[in-house]
Amino acid sequence: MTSRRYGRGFARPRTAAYAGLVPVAALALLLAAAVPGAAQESSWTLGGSLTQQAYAAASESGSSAEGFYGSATTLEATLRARGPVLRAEFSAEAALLAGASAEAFAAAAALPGGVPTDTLYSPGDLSDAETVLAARVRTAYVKWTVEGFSLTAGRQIVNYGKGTAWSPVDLFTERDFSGLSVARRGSDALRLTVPLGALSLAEAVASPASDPAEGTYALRAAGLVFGTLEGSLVGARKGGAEEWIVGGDFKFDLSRISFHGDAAYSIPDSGGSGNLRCVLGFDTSFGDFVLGAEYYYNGAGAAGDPLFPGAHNAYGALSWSAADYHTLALSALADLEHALFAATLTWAWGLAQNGGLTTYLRLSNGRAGTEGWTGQAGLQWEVKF
Amino acid sequence: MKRAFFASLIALAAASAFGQTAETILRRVDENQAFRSIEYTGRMDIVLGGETRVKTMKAWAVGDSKAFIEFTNPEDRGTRMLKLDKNLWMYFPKEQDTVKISGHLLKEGMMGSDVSYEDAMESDALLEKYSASILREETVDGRPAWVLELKAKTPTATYDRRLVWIDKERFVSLKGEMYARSGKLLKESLSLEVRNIEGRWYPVRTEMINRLRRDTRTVFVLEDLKLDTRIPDSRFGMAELTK
Repeated sequence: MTSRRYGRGFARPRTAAYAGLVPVAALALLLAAAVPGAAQESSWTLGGSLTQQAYAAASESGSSAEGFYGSATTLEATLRARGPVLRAEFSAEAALLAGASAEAFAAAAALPGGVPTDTLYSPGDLSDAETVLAARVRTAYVKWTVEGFSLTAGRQIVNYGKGTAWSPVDLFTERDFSGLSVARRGSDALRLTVPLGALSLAEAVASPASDPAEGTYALRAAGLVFGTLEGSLVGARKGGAEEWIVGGDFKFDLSRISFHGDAAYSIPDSGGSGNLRCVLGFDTSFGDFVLGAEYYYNGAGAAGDPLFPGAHNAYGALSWSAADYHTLALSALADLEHALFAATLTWAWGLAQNGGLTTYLRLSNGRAGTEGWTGQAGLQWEVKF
Repeated sequence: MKRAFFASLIALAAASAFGQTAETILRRVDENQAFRSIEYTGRMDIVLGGETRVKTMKAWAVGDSKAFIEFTNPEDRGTRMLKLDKNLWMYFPKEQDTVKISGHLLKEGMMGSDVSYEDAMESDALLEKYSASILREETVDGRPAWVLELKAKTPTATYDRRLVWIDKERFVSLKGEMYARSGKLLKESLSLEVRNIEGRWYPVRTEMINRLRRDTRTVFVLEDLKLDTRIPDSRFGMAELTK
């Protein structure tokens, strides 16, 4: 299903050009902590996590099976500085990848586009690497806020949409399915937010690529409409894809069930017919169980979503708080058109205040380079600081 | 009425306070605990299975309709909550994601504690949602108290029935019990420490026990409590949540 074969914690990002962000962020951190006349309210924090993951897997290879293992040790650190007007954040990850994780990173780097563009460092020759040390910048931005208006510049997560697995209106972030949960990646952008009362906002976002004509630009209004209904409307230009996009999202509650949906309609410059991508989903809980599901229609094929090119896709997740600090969860993603499937069973144990242990079993087909099945068993522990 | 339930996560005891006549007693409780604004540093000790997990936070509230909380313990640092009237949002800094807490999520324990989001949201709706009567008089830890019974007037009330023990001298809640329609005891609250702050008696250390879970309780402690400070309105907006 997830045709990418990256090391854990590293997936292909979408945006380009991080050059210059690091010194800008460093300067901003100093500025934010030293705003004249605001010393009493200024503060900074340093936090992060250390995660280690190891796994063994077997996959079908013709009539035989191939076994492999991999591991990844990832250090993530986030420095935040905040004053009453200026705020800055710099977050970076460094990962030591071994075995199959190193191979996966090398395979990703070999794809068109090369080494992921948010990678800060990786060795030049990955062809025979058994271990890879790589680093990337997650976020690096400065945010200026006055009377509810804000201007954010730098690598940030522009978080659109209500979907869990898919959000067609999530125009600026790539979703990373390589970990145990879906994560969003940052993009280099300039974002202006204007409040529309206390519960609504309007914003303009520009994410210019190295060639501004290839960038993505959006206008959006979002807020609480009435009752429990919240929603947004988006209009965007994706220069790289040479298309205009209109879309929106919603979420509301009926009794104990929450419903959500996203839709984006793309109109190509060429004047051909447009394409619709949309998601409908719900989530609810009963007792110690939480259940969620989504259906995703991708009318744009691989051009609209390379990871899920099929027209019909489904996602489901059921978690159970089995005991104090213990959660069992089963989630599955399926491309119904291509009969591709991935399911993950996890057992998470909150070992301590600042960390936990997760074991998992994953079964999938359609891994890059194969159409066979792959089974994987792994262990991950994380310490936060 | 400026009850402090959400504001002290917001004074668990206040949520269970209420009714001379029951209503008069409850009004005195309100007057005692009324504030225009409140600002404090708080700590939640979540005791589960013999282990304690600690959450620390800074909180601001104006009346009972606006509240803002920012968690400061390392694991949740930067996670924020905004309450505006009957709406509640949470902001998660790692994903820079804002989520409206509604529907079934309101039943969940706040940050893993025994206090549900719904408990925290109820605030001053008690008089609107419950009818009160004096059941009896008892002593709690040597302090004479009225035992008030609150019965739900509306199906939207979080609990079908509550019992609250009100200190007869200080007009603060000393203890509370929350029941389901079936009569089952769901939760208990206990004021562990009541302090005089600027001439008013206020519960500053409160315990909540979820009787549906075994061996679990949450102790909420208010520190550096300041009443009636000036808090700008801009503190309570979506912009502040993601600031």
